Amino acid sequence: MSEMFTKLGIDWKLFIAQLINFMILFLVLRAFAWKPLLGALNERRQKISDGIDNAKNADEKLMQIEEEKEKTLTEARSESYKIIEEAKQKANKLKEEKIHATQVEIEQKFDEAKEQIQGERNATYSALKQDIVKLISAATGKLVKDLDDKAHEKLIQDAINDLESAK
Amino acid sequence: MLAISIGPEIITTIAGMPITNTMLMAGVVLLVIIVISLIVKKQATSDAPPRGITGIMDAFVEMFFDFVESITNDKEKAIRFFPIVATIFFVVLCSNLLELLPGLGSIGIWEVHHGEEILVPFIRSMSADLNFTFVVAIFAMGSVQIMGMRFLGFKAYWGKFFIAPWKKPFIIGSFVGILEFVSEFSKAISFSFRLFGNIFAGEVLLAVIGFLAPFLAPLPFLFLELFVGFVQALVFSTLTIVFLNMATTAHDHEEEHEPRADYSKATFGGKPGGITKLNGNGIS
Repeated sequence: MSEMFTKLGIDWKLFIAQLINFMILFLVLRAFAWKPLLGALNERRQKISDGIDNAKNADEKLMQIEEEKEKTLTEARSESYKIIEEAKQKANKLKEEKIHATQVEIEQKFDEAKEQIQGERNATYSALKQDIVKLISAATGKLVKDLDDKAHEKLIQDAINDLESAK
Repeated sequence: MLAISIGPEIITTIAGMPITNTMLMAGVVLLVIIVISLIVKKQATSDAPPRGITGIMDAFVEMFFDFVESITNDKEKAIRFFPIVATIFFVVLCSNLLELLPGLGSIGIWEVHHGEEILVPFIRSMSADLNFTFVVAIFAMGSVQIMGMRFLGFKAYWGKFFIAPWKKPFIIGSFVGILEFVSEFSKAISFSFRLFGNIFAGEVLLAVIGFLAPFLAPLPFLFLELFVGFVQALVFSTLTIVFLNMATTAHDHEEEHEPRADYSKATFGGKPGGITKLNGNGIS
């Protein structure tokens, strides 16, 4: 057995030396190379995927904002239409009301004027009547002296009344 | 005359400790790797983008990590296994490529062995020394045991090998368990002899070709050995990952087995078969 080992060049001292050597290599590489490099690698991959995610998110946000903007714009537009429409309607109503009110007023004024004219005419007429009665009584008084005043006036009044009813 | 020795040649002896040419090379590799590691550590912990040697190591780590993950299909396991297999791959690759250094078998000192004066070269690949390959194999199989115990627990892990004969498959179960236990040792031996055989053969081949036809003729063999060195390092680390993965997967005694990991999709360099996607559900 040991002869085989010697023939193959295996020597316990060399073996242990190589073992120590290799362990040092392993520890050094693990501590100084693999760990920092793996860390850097992971960090980099994380950063890249984060960046891609961020870009995606930003795109989505942008789309959302665009959509919202569009929505708000449409809303505002319809709102403004509504307001204009309402204003138009109100204006129309107001106009009609005004016109109506003016018409009513005009009619009122017209009626008033008519009434006034009527009143005046009536007053004039009655005054005229009075005057006529006096005039006629004076005229007839001169003609018919014996007719007393009372009967006289009554006669005239009747005549006027006849005239009026005949009219 | 060309001297070929299976074991490493002793250059000198210091205080009873033989210093062989492979020890010398191991020391050189150790120094080089420590220097590289320190540079990498300094750069990788800063915010600066990786440059120079750090960039190479960074690319290597990225590819190799995806490779490990494509075999284990589990990020947690991949992170645990990575330092082990990456060290094996890196050190074995370095030592394999040492045999391509000019001066292999030609620069050295003359010594008298068994009454003959022979040239003892300074440069000899560590992988062409069974001491080194055994060390790496034992490291690999040792970490397989440790990782198995860590992932499955002490009892569950050793319960895979030592099955009481009165349990379900009865004597067959315990016999298979013993076989598997023995196979853990044979794995270590096959690891070390595979690597040793390939690299030693390559070294002998290069030495012989260089001895017979020194000009131009060794060129294709140099390329071949470059390839062999890479492949052997890859084979060593891939097998280690597979063994680690097997050791950390719980053995079900029930009939229903989980589908086995699909190693056919494993790729060196990550993407196609690997499970890693940048923005998907892989690394995040």
